[in-house]
Amino acid sequence: MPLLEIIPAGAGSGKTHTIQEKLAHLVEAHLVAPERIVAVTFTEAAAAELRERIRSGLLRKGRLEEALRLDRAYISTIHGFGLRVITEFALDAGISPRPRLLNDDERDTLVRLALARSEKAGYIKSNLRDLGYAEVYDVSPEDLFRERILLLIDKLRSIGRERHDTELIPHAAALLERLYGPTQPADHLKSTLLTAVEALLARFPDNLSPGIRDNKSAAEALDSDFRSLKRASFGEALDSDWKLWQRLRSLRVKVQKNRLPDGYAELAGAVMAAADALPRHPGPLQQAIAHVSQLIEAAQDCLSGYGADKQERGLVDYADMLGLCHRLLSSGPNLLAALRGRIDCLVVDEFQDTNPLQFALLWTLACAGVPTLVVGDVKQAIMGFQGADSRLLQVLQVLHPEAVRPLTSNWRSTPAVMAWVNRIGTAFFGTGYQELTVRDEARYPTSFTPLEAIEFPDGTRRGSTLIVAQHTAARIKVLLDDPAQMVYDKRLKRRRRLRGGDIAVISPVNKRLNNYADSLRRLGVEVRVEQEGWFESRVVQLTWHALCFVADPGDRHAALYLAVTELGSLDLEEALGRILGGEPLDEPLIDLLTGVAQAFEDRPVDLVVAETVAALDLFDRVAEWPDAAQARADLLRLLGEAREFLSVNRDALACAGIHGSGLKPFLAWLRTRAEWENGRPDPDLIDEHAVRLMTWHKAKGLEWPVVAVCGTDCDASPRLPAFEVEYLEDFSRIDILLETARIAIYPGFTAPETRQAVMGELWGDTIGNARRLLYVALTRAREQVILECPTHLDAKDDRQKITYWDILRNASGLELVANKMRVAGEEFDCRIVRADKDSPPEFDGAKAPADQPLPIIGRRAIVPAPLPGGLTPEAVSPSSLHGQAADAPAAIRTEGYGAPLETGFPGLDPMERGTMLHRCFEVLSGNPGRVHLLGRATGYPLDDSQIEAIQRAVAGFDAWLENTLRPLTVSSEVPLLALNDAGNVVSGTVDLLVETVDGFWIIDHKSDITEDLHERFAFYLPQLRCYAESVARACEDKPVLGLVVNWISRGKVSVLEFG
Amino acid sequence: MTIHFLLTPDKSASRKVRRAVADQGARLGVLVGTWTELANLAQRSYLLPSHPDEWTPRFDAAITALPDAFWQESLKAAPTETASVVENALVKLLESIGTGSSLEPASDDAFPPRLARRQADLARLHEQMGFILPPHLALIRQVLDADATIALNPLAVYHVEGRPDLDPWQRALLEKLARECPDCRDQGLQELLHAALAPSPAASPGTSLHAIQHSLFDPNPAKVSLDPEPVQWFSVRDALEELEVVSGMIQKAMREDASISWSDFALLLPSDTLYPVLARSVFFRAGLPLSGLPADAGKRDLGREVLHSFLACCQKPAPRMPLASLLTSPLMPWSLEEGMRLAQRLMDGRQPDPKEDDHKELLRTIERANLLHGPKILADNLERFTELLVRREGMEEHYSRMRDTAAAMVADLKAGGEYGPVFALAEPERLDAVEAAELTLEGIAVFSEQEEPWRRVRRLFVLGFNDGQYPAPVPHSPVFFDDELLLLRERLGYELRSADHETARRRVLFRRQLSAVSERLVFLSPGRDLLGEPVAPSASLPFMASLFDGIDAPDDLITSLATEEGRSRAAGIACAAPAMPTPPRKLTAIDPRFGRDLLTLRTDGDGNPWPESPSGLEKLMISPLAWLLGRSGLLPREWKPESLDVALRGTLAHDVFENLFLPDLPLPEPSGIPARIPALFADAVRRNAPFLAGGEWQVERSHLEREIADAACYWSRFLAAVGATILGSEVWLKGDLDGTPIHGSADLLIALPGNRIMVVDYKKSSSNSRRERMRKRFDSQASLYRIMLETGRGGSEGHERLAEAMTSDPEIGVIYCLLNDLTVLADTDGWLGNGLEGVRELGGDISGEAMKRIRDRILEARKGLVVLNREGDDSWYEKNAGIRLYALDDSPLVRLFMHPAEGGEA
Ligand code: SF4
Repeated sequence: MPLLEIIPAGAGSGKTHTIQEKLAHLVEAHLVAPERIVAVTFTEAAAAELRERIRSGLLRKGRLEEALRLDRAYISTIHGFGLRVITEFALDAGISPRPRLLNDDERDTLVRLALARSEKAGYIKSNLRDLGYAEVYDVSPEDLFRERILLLIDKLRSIGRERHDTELIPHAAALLERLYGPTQPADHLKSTLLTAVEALLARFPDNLSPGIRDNKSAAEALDSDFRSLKRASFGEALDSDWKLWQRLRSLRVKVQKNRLPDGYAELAGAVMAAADALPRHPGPLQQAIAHVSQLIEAAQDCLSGYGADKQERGLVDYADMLGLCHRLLSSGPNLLAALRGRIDCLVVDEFQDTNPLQFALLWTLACAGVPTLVVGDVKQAIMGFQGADSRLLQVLQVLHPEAVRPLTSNWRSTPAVMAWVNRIGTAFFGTGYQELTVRDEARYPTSFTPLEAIEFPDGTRRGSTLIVAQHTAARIKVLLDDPAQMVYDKRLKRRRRLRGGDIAVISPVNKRLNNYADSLRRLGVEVRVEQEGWFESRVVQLTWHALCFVADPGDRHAALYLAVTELGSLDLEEALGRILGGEPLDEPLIDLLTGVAQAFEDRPVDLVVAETVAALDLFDRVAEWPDAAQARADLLRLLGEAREFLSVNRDALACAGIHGSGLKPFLAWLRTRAEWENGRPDPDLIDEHAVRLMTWHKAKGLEWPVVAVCGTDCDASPRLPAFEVEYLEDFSRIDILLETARIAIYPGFTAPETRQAVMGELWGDTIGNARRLLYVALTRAREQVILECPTHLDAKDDRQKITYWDILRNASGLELVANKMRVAGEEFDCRIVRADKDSPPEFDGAKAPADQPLPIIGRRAIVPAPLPGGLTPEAVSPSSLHGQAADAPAAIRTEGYGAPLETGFPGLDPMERGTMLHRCFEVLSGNPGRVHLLGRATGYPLDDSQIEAIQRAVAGFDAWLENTLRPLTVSSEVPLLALNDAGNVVSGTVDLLVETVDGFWIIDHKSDITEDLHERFAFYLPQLRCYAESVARACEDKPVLGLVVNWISRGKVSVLEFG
Repeated sequence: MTIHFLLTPDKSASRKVRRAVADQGARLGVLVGTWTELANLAQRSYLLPSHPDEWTPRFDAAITALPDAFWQESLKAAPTETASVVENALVKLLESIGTGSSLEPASDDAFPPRLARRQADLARLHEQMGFILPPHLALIRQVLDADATIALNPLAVYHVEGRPDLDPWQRALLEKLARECPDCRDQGLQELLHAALAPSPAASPGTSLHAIQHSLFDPNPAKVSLDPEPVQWFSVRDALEELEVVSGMIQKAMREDASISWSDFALLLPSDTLYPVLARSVFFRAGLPLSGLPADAGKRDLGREVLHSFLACCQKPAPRMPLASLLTSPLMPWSLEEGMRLAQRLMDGRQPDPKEDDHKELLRTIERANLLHGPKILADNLERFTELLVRREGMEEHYSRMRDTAAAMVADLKAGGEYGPVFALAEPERLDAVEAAELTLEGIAVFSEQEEPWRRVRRLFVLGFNDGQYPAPVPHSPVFFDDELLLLRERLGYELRSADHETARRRVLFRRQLSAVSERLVFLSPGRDLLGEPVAPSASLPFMASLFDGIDAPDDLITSLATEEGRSRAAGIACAAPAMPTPPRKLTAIDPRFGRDLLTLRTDGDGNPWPESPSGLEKLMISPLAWLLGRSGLLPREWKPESLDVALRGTLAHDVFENLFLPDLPLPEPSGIPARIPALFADAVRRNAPFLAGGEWQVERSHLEREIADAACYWSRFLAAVGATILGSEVWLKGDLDGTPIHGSADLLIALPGNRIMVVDYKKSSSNSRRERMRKRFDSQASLYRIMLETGRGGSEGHERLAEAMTSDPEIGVIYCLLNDLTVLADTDGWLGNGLEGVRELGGDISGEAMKRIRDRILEARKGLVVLNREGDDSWYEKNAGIRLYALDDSPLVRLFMHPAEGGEA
């Protein structure tokens, strides 16, 4: 096998298939042992698929033995691989052999603590607002700051920089200086501005705003201008408040209908002119450098503090799985050699998604001589936001051209779609694009026009994105209603009518999807989309309140809530009235829950939740609801969360502020968890009638017959601040890649000119990213692509932002003409729907989405029935029969054989005492010579007087036995095993089985200290009878003559002789 | 009498063998059991003493005594984990070398260095321990050395090779027993055991079912064609649906086939505690009895949890929740209800107020424990604390566990033990349930993934057929790689078993489980876990696919019950009649009328209505329902982790201001303020939110402190610029609003030159929305304080300056100080001058709209009417009044019972 093979694999080119085939071949040829395969990819699902496919590949070749050995191969996510290596080599590396993955709360706490210890970020910490850390929704400035530190920490770790590196700051500062351009002396700029402001205020000392009538916005503007001028006039603010400078650049000097006082416009103009120097002011640059330097320093500080804390607590995070692994392998030749010796080949799927650290780790193995197969597609590199760096795959291809063997065929799309994709691909990527030819597998008959364009020549009313969605939805509805639309079913291998599940609607941003979901639902089309709002869903809210009540039956709010909502029976006025009047609520639901509450004291949370759900019959109730499947999934997640809660480590819980494992702490935990993770679980595994809605990102790796590529008018411009990784040199030394990596920070600036300059630097990357994302989106379809074409954008050139549509059109020259879409000069069949500015007529009037029928399998198919009673136990043990109703037969005779055993045995409770005496009889009865073994047989330090007493008791009993029953043999501890009449398996042990000439006696030793032996005998009788029956069955030649209880403590025996 | 012992791999197999034996007729002297049971029997029979466990202490001492051993670095980093890994490895080695020799450093130079070192270090470790054996081997050693003549009964043991696998020690024991009783074996029993443990496939040869039972995982299976019914693979959404589908199928089968009964079915469940819980409820609903379902119970470790919480309460700063958890423990000397009440008070930020003296003492003990630290003190506190706990009925087990653990901790602490290990003693665990599984003859048999099947059945359902199950993966050893184990085996003859070996064993077990069915076998794979995350089918699926002709990929085997096409192919599934949903009870918003004066719901000691506060009246205006719920103590009772929210930021800022701007003192100099803030802020934190003193809040603290300092400087400059005198800070005022008593505490009262008084309200927010609100005349708060000043007399008690100022019938204005953007908003006109940035006088009515509405609401409330909110109220108020309706979220009931929006659907 070649040492390195790089397989660029375009969309739909069958890369998993290729990996599977190659590996099966290598195994078959004995070049690779299955357990010595390392194959990594980036998601759990992909790893599972890879495992399954490789296994199947081997099995198909009849290599069962090898397929079995695959169990031990390293086929996992790259993190899983790292974790396995660090645990397997933990003792070599001196780390914990069972590291625990820390959770987000712990990470948050550890970073908080590390940040608290760092003295590096003092300036930022106390100037958060000035530096632009403002509240956004629920995120506080402090959180925002920490988020940024975390982001930076991730970047640092992605380039393997766990320790302080003094190179980073100068590099980042130099970048800022270059981008910022030349500056002028600050003092001069300030005094010019201050003079102008003072001049204006001297002439117009009062706020002009009250003088303005009928023009609210002008009055507001003047008011705010006055405030700015006033603030500026104190001077101090001009040294650091760049927003103030910016505000002074645009003062209001014209007011319609009202005249501003003479001379104001001139003086204001002078202020604006002076303030226009902002982009040349050195202040913002210095501030940015200080900010960026402190961020980097604080991040490095935090990183080491956080690292130390983790180590102390035996924790690892995902980055450690790779970081530690990389450090281990680069720490010395031994470990690397040891690992190398255990690997025959390395396969990396989705290589374009590696980050620098992952690359370095994998490359270490490749350099150690492990034959390496790299599969990936630079064109589909869209995980940059997670730190993936597709330049790495690119450079690998450049450095090793001899190893590159691109895949050239396509299994996915029909020839017509493929031709179009090839044209777009070439337009996007030029010579970097490998044209794909359609395999026979995809040459099935299709009834679809390969392309459809929904054109918006005039935009929509007020730019409404909902109207865009409605047009697309309306078109999808038409397709679904048209019986002539037939798709090819890959599973059935024939054509059938188009269903909702064959269509995907994909958009670059999540937010837009709601528009499509709403629009499709209103047209009666089922959709499947990731939904938020799990915690707020009705069934979860109801259960939540039920749990609140179970946790605390004094919670009157919960009781009220339950009584007046879906499950209860009261209305608000009734229930509140009763509570206000101090009357009982009298609500059956509450009684049920009170029952659960009383039983739960030491029940773990997961069971209490399950019992609460069961007590309210919730699964059955929701099974009839309109959104039955979703409600059921929501409820099931709640059960799952209870288990999750119990599995979270207590330290981690404490970091989230949760202490205790009861229901109250669980509920507190659940609420905070829902704040972060509030997605509603998918209600079905597959819903073949539902149109699938997802983002372009999520759509990667998936395919559908028909794909609507939507939201092309979304903004694709770069965002500030941006954190990027750069490399000092070109990539010729990929073996020292990490050392050459640096962090570049592109901060936001107040002056638009400066912002533009900063963004300009990012522009190239942005367009590259957008093209790759578009490529992913446009290649998802098998038979038809529906494309939203906001052609109205083409006219406007003065826009600040750039959209995906612009990027698509600029690169490919895409044009719509008659029934064609022209791409790079070539024309493709295309159905064009022209949309106007308003909602399509289908959306007139408000319509509630129609109910879907209930599922017919599963819970609803169960016929409720009562659980049968009176079943026969599989087995009985005679001693469990004690006390079962039995009258003491009169024929019992009790006789003494010795003195009562009155010796005490300190430290033994009655049970232990009984066991001990029992054992003494077992050892000693019939074998008085074993008395010296009593001590070790009982494990109790018997003293002489105790031994003597026991000896006496046993001797007395033995004498009685010998004289009264005249045994032939005496067996002690005789196991018996039998079936009784009911079919139970009876198994037990007879203390003494005595065989005489005439039959058997069954003797049991009991140590009770009781007066009424008769009654006690009756208590034990069912046990003894059970023995008797079983013995009778086992030894049919002789009868059981009777039962004897030896009352050890009393020195007596009770005898029941069968007559 | 000779005891015949039939050895089995597990309890479940024992059950099966017992029945097999009993079926042949009753027997005396026959026992069936696992290895542990056999070892105990031997110990009893040979009258062997049970020795105290020396192994653990010696191991603990020895592992640290070899400074250059391969585990030392890890041991420092993770003591417990490393020790357990090393102990495991040592025990495995000792088991593998057998009875004859001892563990010695191997002289084999051909070992790779890593392996050689590890083997040698472990041997040295054993030497260091004095060659002592772990308890289970020590017992075998004893039996081997025991004198045959003292045995109570001769033992004949029957064993089927590989079931269970025996190590050399175990084999030696069996050999000894056989030697001592050479002629006592019963060949019939051996055959019986063999038949029970190594059954042949239950299905007839040539069928698909037989193929699975006979050839699954076989190297060269003969392919057969797949019959549609006997073996099926279903994919469903989740574990619950699996059970629902299965119970439907069983019901259907029994409806359609009179010859089949419950006991003809079995479920094979994966080793996940989820399944018993769900199975119990689903099968209960279906009226289907299960036999052998593991008891699901499990208990919380209340005993240790109490100690754990107590220790958390000793931290500094102590969060509130551990104390709340503690207060609600059933081991506390009060009722659960009382505990909940106390805990809720605490979580709401108030002091718990136990009624009885010894209860107070308990709280004081916890408080004291937080104050002073040190092992001795902690030990004392722990003792005192545990003495105050009670042994309630039903909680005895937890109580004794608590006592025992506490005693151990106290002993360790007194002996100078380190905190970490001492605290670790209190780490709660999930306690096992004691109840045994219920087993009936008639019930549907439940098999477990790790156990032998215990009955033959006609139909078997395999649930949770997912990745990671059937068989479950075998963990890797961090000490030896599999190939190293192999080397040790080859070169030194150690009988070590590799992970491969164990995996193979699990596969065979799986096949045996599948072999227990004679007619139909159904595998069910849920596609999602409880949380909704996707899960893949079991890795055994491809092996099954390879058994059948015409199956290209494992996927081809699977029938998805989610698709119509799948359901039409699936045999034996139960379907319900198609139906449309029935919506649950609809909630309708009808304004409740209570026929009583709602303002008198709460009264003071003398029966007078409790006065309303300005914020209460604002709530009444916004949402009468929210107001009513709040006023009658009907708000949600929740515990929340402490955090720095907007309200707390405000409280802290208020607190600092209250203590910085004081009457009778000169105004603080702006330049001196920054130096004073840290101490004032620290006090505020201590009073209001001790948790904030923790390191994790340092960024918040320093930022907030800086913000408060900036605001204080600004405010002080403002006060000086307008020539204000402070009349009072946090002044409690009372008055009445058209006869409705009102009260509240004004943040600050100042006098301005020219017989003017201003009521000041600090707001930790920005000015925009407040300004809107004032402009739109929706600002009631400060104006209500003005009304209190105007109508109240008692209000100025203790505030002579204020009383004096009021005598001259001053003009009264209201003023907001907005701390976030350093702005001052007032309803006055021309009082404040033009000299300072950020000062706005709005000049005129700021409260008219609000007061009108409040007055209307008061009238309604007196009549007992609660007007519910309307959808869209939030946006109306935000737009027209500049008010954000946070009150609508006081209780979820407020939003549930809203009138539909105006013009919306009826
Ligand atoms: S997306 Fe599907 S067809 Fe394309 S390479 Fe991956 S597995 Fe193969």
